[in-house]
Amino acid sequence: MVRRWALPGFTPDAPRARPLLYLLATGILAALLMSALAALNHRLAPLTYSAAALAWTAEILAGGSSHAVFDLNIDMRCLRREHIARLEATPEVVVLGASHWQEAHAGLLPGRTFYNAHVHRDYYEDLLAVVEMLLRHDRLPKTLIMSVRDMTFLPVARRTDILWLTALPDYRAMATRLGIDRHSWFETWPARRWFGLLSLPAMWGNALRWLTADVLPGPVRARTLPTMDALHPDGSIGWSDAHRAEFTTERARREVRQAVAARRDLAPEIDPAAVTAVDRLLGLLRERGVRVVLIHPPFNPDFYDRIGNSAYGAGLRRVEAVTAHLARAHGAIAVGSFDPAVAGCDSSMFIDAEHSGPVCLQRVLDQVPGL
Amino acid sequence: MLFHSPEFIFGFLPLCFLGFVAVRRLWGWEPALLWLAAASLVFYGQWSAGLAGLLLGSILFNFGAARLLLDAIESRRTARALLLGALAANLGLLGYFKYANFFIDNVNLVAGSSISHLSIVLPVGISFYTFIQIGFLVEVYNRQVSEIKLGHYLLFGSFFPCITAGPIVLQRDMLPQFAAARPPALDSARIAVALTVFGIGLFKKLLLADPMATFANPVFDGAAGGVAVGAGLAWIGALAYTLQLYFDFSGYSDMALGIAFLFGFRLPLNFNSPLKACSITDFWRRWHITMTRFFTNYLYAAIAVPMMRRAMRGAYARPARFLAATAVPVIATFVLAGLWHGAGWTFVVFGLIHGLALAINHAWREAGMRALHPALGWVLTMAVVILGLVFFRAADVPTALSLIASMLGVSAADAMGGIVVDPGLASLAAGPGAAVLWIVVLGAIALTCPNTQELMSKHWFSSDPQPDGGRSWPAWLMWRPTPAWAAIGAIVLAAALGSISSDAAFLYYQF
Repeated sequence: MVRRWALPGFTPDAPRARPLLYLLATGILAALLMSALAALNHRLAPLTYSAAALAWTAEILAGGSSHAVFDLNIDMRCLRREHIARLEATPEVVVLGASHWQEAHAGLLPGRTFYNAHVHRDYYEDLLAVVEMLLRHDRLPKTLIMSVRDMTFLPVARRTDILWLTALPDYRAMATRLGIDRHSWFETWPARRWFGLLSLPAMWGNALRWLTADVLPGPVRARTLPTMDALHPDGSIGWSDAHRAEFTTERARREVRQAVAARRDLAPEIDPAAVTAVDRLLGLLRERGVRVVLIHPPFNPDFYDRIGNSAYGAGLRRVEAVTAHLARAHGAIAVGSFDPAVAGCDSSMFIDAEHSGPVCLQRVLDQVPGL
Repeated sequence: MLFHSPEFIFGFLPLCFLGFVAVRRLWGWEPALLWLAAASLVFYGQWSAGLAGLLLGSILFNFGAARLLLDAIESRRTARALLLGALAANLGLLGYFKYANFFIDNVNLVAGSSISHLSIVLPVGISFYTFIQIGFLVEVYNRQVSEIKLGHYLLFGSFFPCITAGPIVLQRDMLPQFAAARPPALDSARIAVALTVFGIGLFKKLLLADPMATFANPVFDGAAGGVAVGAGLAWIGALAYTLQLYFDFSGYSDMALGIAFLFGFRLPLNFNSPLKACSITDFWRRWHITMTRFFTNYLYAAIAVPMMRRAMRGAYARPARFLAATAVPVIATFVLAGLWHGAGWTFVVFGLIHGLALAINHAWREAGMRALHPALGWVLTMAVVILGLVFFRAADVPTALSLIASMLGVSAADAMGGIVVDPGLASLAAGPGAAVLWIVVLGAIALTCPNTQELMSKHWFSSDPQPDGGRSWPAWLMWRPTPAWAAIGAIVLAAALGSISSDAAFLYYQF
């Protein structure tokens, strides 16, 4: 006899159909649960997954207000795309780089209009992509500061992070413009990014933040907030008071120790195709009359001194040599070094092995002639 | 590629399975096995094409050695020489990749030299696939194999569910299935069971094992960094790691058995609720069962049998005979088993602790003393297990000793220099409630719930026979393909898939 709760086929006299129906029921139920999870994550992390939400944020920034965020794990590339499209005037100076530049604000270049177009964990594709955004909206500045970091030329196959994948449409457009080979779809399939939507811990963490926050993400006047980080109209970020309190000397030392252990034996690899792409990009910028400054973000001296003779240190010097070669080939200005002594930065200016505050960044910028 | 990565679950596994079904339907069984062998090499090659080449080279070498052994099987002297040569080559390969730098460290320590480390990448699973092939050679030598097909051996040596972290299969587990089993390619009942077992393993790994790392890591890392760890934190770290390793490896083993069963192959069990063991002998019958089987068959027997003969010939007194024929072989076997897990003195001590405990256990029985009450036996067994795992996890022997001193309340940690504030440890010290709750809940699951094979006992999926005389569980707890179990399965699967963002590799991959 069929029990009341039994689905069709789940009967003792249908043994062969039962496992098949079990599989179907399990699969459909699991898919429904996962869909609900994805929808929740999309809703709770709009600045990571929603282009519309990022466009709204860009609208606020373009209007001159800052924007409070829970943290900086957002789709910074999409934000740049939307923000650059809304810039009312072409800035005189633009910085392209990674999170090393996140605290570089307009106050470091008084008398100049400045836009900080940094994105987190950048590679050379990001340089191409952000220049494409600037070019598309006729916002190429007079002076473009392009930061070359340790991993700028890293081959795609060696990368473990996925943030850069959201810049692919702009990268592909620029690659086409430059006539260089573009990455295949297979190499850059963004499955891992979308799989983040199915993260239970992320949903749980975001739900708790929305439920317990005293200030919700949105426009704010203050540049610094007690518990929320801030995105500023000039493209820089402002750490919350809570985050700043965490950036202790002890934390920086620990981060340095971990970074030394993790990187010492890993020389940053240089993909020749990446160098070619940047070479072509510099050629295009020269044609457009942009004054390009190639610059290296300095490391924390505690870190740099300890990796000097390692494989990683040797790799850094190879990256510096590539930068110097590119600058010579295109008449660009090459300043700075991964070595913090060149800019005169000390360890108290860093929050970890490689991220410095505005004081060090000011010293780096002071090295650029005529800025 | 990890079993719990999206690339594996949504990419490799479905493609590999559909390809297997298609090849089976289009070209038959033998080509389907070749497909699976090729897919296994692709799976392994995801770590490194070079290391996949090493695996393939190892398989081809051992296949050649086995063929030579078979040809020379009647000439025992030649066969023995061939076997020893092949074993030396296999152990040499393992020794180079796994133990060369450990050897250099010890030479430097003893001789005061400063020889640099060799630039060696430890191939994932080399300890496992080397032992799988050594087992095969020994069984060929022992006339337990009469013929070998290259295709079958290729799959045996590379079968992706078990080459990275076991089970350590023997030829008799697999080759008869390759030769004769030929289950239907698509069998909804088998697929339902296989995916359920896989889902249970995934759940164990991602939702039970990985969260424990957040409690265990700060304690072990802090102690390694010279942080003063109090008794409470030391116990939290040790218990959290015990449960982490148990659910991690048990989850991995479930996933391996589930994946193999998806293709219609049955693997031997590797776990049988070891934390319920009431003696150390019972523990090793339940924990990493295939490793215990390997070491018992091929190492313990090789040491114990000649020593037993010598003891018999020499008419040793009973205690001396026990020492020679049981205690020394068991201790030596477990010291080597410890070293098999990793190149470090901590693993040697781990093996030594278990070897001594087993020797005492055997001596107790040998002396005809009454068995301990199960509760007392369980406490003593767990004491040995936890003590061993502190060494197993610690960065070095002094760290393990300092943690054990802390656990015993005689901590020397306060006297250690270089104490730093560790935020992870500080937050654990400030709020240990969550850690304690997790430990209690996971401990209760490990000790009171049916294990995977008990849950699935109506739908057996292993090459081992179902154990007799185990605890009988209520019928409603036994898995069946019903709507209620479909709902539970969906929740377990969704929760596990939703936790995949963790990149934590299986702990046994490092061995």
